[in-house]
Amino acid sequence: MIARLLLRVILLAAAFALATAWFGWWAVPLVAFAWGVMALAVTRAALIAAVSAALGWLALLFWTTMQGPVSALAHLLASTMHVPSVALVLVTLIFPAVLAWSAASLAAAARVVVGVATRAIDS
Amino acid sequence: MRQGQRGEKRKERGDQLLRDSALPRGRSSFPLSPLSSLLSLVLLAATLYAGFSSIGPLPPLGPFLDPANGVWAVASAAELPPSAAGRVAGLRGTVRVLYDQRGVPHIFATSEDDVYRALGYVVARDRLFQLEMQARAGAGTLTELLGARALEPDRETRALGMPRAAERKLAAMDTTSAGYRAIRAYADGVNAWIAQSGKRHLPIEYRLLGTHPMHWKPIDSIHLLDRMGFTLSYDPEELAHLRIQALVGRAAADALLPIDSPIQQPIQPNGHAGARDEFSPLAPPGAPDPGALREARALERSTAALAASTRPASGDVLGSNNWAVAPRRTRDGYALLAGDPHLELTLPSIWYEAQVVVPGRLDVYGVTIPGAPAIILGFNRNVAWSFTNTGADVLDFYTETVDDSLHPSRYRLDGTWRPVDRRIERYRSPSGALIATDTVYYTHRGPMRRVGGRWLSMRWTVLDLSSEIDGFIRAAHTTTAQGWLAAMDGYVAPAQNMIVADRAGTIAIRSTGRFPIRPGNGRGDIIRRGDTSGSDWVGSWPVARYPFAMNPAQGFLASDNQQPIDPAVDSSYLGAGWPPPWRAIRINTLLAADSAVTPDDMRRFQTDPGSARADRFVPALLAAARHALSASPRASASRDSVLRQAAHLLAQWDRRYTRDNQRAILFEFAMDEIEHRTWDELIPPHGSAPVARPGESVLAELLAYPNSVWWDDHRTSGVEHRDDILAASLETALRRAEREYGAPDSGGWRWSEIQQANIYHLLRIPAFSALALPVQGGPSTLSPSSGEGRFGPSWRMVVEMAPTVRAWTIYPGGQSGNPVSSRYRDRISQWLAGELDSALVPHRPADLPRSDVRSTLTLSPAR
Repeated sequence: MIARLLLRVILLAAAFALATAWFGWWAVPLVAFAWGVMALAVTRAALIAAVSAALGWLALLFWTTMQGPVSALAHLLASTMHVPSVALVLVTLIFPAVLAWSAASLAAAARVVVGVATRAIDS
Repeated sequence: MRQGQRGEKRKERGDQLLRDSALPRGRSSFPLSPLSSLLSLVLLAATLYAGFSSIGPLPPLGPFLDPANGVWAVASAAELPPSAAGRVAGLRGTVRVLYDQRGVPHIFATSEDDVYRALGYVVARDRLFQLEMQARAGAGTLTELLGARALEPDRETRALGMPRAAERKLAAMDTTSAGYRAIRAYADGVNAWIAQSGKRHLPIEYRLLGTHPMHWKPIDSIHLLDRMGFTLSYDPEELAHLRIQALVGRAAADALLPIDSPIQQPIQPNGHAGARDEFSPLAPPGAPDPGALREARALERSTAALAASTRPASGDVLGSNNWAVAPRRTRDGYALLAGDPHLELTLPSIWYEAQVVVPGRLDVYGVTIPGAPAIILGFNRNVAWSFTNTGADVLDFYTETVDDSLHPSRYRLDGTWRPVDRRIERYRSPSGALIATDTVYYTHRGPMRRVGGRWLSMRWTVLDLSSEIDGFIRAAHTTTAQGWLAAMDGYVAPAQNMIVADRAGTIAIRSTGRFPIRPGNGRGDIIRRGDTSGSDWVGSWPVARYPFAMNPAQGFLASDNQQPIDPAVDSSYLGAGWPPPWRAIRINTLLAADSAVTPDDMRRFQTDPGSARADRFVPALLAAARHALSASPRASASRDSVLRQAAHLLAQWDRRYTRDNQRAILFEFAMDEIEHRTWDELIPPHGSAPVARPGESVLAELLAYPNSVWWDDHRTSGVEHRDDILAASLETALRRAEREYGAPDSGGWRWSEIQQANIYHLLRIPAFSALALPVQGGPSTLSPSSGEGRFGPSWRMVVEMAPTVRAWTIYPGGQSGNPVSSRYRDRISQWLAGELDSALVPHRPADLPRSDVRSTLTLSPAR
């Protein structure tokens, strides 16, 4: 059960990371929406989307850290914006998480609405 | 049948969905209640909005926070990769670029067009945001980058006629000229970088502003140079004159802002071993001239925003030094040259160091200004050169008679009406939305603006047709000092004192630029009538008349923004209100005292802490104190005690502005106080500060007349003379120093605690800036630091014209414009210490040892 959950999170995080790197940040809600449509029966699917999106961006951030002085940059940006450095990193992780959670949730709701509508039409 | 089956399946899926929607929250987190759905919809919409749109000062969060392509990617682009490749449209051959350990690109190309393409590419790679910002400042389009906050400076730039002038200059350029080809090639290089760099290399400033780089056009190089013209030559003498005239009348204004400096240490040697004083009693204050006051205020208001963004604050210094020593006065028998322009210190620096090589044709090393396709200050294998600002008066105003006081369509000239040219100026936001529209009017002289109810037109050499780039490119190819100067014969603006030394041992200096010849008395510090063409310039100085010296008997040459020619030699009007020649006196003293100068001596001279200004005023202050203390009766014993202590402390001073000096501040406060008390006539009613301050050379002149009425402080009941003012100023200075910095030996008087350099980022972001840097030097020293510390030596270079040319350089900053790059501010500590780096000047790529190569770049023609 846990292994399956972990596998889902890892795969989804990879999808978020790759989509962001290839297409840009706006790919996050698209991936999350697709996930929401597909994973209706998955327990806490929206939460998984949120965590995966944050992890995906964390992985990208970690990769960037390998390329250059991210901590120095965080410090400079934080000084410029008058916030603690850690707050910037947190915002960077919370932003995709919120996008993914809300998009996945909305996808599920939309699918229910579509299902109800379909049933109503059929009946 | 099939349709029925599909319908059943749909029905089953719908039932499943409905069942799922009813699952308890322990099994699924999907918020399927209407409220939860609405919540997720609102949340998604809000997050998307924040992702796509700027909210307040924040950029759109999506592209900003994106860890792959957003602001975090700035870190991954901080350092140069060991090797890289790029393609540039129009390139005819492969270009190799080797970056040395200091981040200096050495560009090896097979044609000159290619070398300038590559220069554009590498400058854009390191300084893209600066390129755009500086060019936009000259074009008056900063609003398109920074938004409405830049509207006022943009309006003034356009009202000065700068964008129109740039368009005319470009249109007038010979399309086969080297200059035209260079600016086109440079644009190719910049745009190739922009096209290839991708989101990851977008400079941090664009990310913070939420904007993208503009397409670079050839005209942008002209905008940049015009902007330099503004910085260095937009200094209306008329304004200071009007301000003073308003309070003390025309004759006194003429005396306080003399056309000729009372202390002569000219650039063109005048045969005197030292400075020559040409003192005469100052005309006394006369009746106020209210009309002049109104005019001054209006003129001041009309240029306030632009001036505030570019001119030094009170006390800051805009100037430069250069000097050259003939082989017979150097230890090793080779000509030496030094140069250090004092400009606004910024991060990234105004300068970018590079070497451009086309084997057999061109090999030049030095600094370029991002946007200029040329090495501006530097050397080739045979000649070295550097500039200081001449400060000549190259701008005049004319009172025009127009047919409509608000929207003129014609102006009067020689009894007839002439049409006014109108140009509509539109200001746009970064998104392209129209912010504002202006109409700028032009007469045959130049732009015209309404100032205090009158229309003033302006003639300014920076707006004249010219191609400075052609001069720089021609000069880079020359092999002798004479040839170098001849290559710059056509140079127009901003006028510069160009010093040059060659490998044959020739040293020469010439003030070069268009110097207008005015009709009548020839003066340019007054506003002339515009309704007659008899007021117009009647020509410009021929090159043969330019202030000039070559291989002088004294064996050295120096310029430090002082009056170029002693009026005893040539009294023609070249300008007024010259800066006091303190730096010139100091360097002439140092050079005259050293008959075996070494490159290291040249380096030491560049940060010499001695002050000719202190040498002039300290003895006068001490003598005044002695006189005051010996005279009796004094007002009180306690005042005597303070004055005695102040004199004692000042006498201890070695007159040097070293970092650990603890007496310089006493002298500075005394000088402040002297000026405040002496020029009290220039403080307007209900004001607290003088409207303008005469130069310190005028104050030095006044020292020779102890009973001049100017010494009297009209705010007191008594009548003061020179020594009263000097003694009182010294006494007040001590009280002030103790009040502000504590007891004299408490450590608070240490110069490094008081005067510091502040190197701001272009957008004045403190975190990207280098602030409160302790420096050696004070007002008027060779390495000046004063006021807010925002101006100072922006580049230092020493070149030895030996058979194999050697050079040492530094500037306060680093090659990269990326604030997290190790190359962003890596040179500042050496600059502060007065040290120079040895420049690597390879003939070919193989000459640069692998250990000296930090990174390589190969540029190939675009397919």
